[in-house]
Amino acid sequence: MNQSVYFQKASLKSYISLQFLVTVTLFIVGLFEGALSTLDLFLFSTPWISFAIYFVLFIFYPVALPVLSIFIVTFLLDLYLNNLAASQTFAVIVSLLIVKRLLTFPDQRDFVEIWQGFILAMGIMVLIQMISFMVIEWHLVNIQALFFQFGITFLIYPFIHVIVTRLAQIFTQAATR
Amino acid sequence: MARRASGGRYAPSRLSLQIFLLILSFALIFIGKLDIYTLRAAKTSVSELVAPIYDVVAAPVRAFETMAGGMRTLASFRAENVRLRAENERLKRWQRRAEIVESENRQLRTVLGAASTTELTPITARAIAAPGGSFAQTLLLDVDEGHLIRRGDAVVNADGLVGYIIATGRQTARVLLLSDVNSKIPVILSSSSWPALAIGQNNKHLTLDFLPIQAKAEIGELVLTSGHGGILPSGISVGRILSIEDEKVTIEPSVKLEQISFVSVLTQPEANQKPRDLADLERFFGPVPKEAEGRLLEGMNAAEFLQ
Repeated sequence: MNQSVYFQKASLKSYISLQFLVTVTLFIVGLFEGALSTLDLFLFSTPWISFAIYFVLFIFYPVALPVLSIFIVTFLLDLYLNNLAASQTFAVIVSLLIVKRLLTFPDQRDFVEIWQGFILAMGIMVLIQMISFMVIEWHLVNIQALFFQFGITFLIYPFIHVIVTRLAQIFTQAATR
Repeated sequence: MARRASGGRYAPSRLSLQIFLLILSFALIFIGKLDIYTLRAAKTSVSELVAPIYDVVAAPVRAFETMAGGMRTLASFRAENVRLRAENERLKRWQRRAEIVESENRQLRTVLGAASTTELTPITARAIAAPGGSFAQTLLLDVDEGHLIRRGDAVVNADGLVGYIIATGRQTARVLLLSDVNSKIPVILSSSSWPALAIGQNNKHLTLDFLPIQAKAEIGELVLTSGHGGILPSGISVGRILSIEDEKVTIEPSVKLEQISFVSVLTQPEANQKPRDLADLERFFGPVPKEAEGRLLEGMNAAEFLQ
């Protein structure tokens, strides 16, 4: 290894501010997602908007969204929405880590492959949540509501993908200018 | 791989942090179900802190909902007017009947010397958080500081029972909706008074369990709280029987869960407040206490003979 690396000045660039901003934004998106469930259409089955954003950021911009941020946001939302504590946290982290391993070089892939990866991540997340709910509550899950959530999120993913990547491009351009 | 930090120490690698967070979150799932005080307090604190932010975030959704509701009302203005007039007439007739029955009831109670039920004080509160998702169905209420709301208090609206309080904070209270899987409400059938349990299914309907085999439930029959257990007051409308298939009785709740904005929490008046904390509730639902072990060996204590 080049010894001169040790004597270089520490970079003043830090990602912490960006990560903090993304964490706060995602928390607000999570709250908004919760608020959507007051609408008649989404009663008990809101689309997983925040999960779609986690996916895009975690796969394409991992610097902006470390696992610690996902842990903090999902755990706080689990506490606030009175879910099984950390059940969503565990499911989201596991699903994203698995799909990230499978989707190597995401920039070089077709959108359809990314979309398939998202569906797989959603499937893993739902499966883990279902299993943990059934084991701990000893009760069947409302499958109808879950399918509805799955379907709606599947349909809105392309829109979220475009919006998040475009916003990220705008921020990157502004930062490098 | 571990990365050498400038201070000469080894900073934890990303992989080990990921593994640590995975293990921690997995452990928290089970720790959370233990219902330990720390986690319950954390939930209450998070609710207290986040509630004002949530109120702001949910404002556009509420505005959209109000607008959509207004448009729906405008579209059916004429028909709605006719329906409301008819309903008003019907309610006036029911009010007269209710007044007569109430008076008769009071007279009969006086004659029989029956104990009157405890007067409950309703506290109006605004629902600030959503009913939740597929896995948990609760509602967060915004209440005044210094409120008298306690765990187990019934929450109702004009249509009937909404749920009961499961946690209280300084300015918030959390309601377990009757549709949640953990909600089990003692009820009776209004016409035959057969007791049962109305159990939430995490969807729009409830099921009726532990209904005696002899009971003949009828579709459309009203289901009321029985007051058994002494936690919820009796006579609150829970719902109507929607269907009976084999032995599965489904109830449609009286309240529209998607349209809950204001509710009343039925609390004991200050003078009647008895200490009712978690320990009391746990004792109530817990197993019968065992007798002291020493009593099992009563009469066989050699010390008594030796004296």
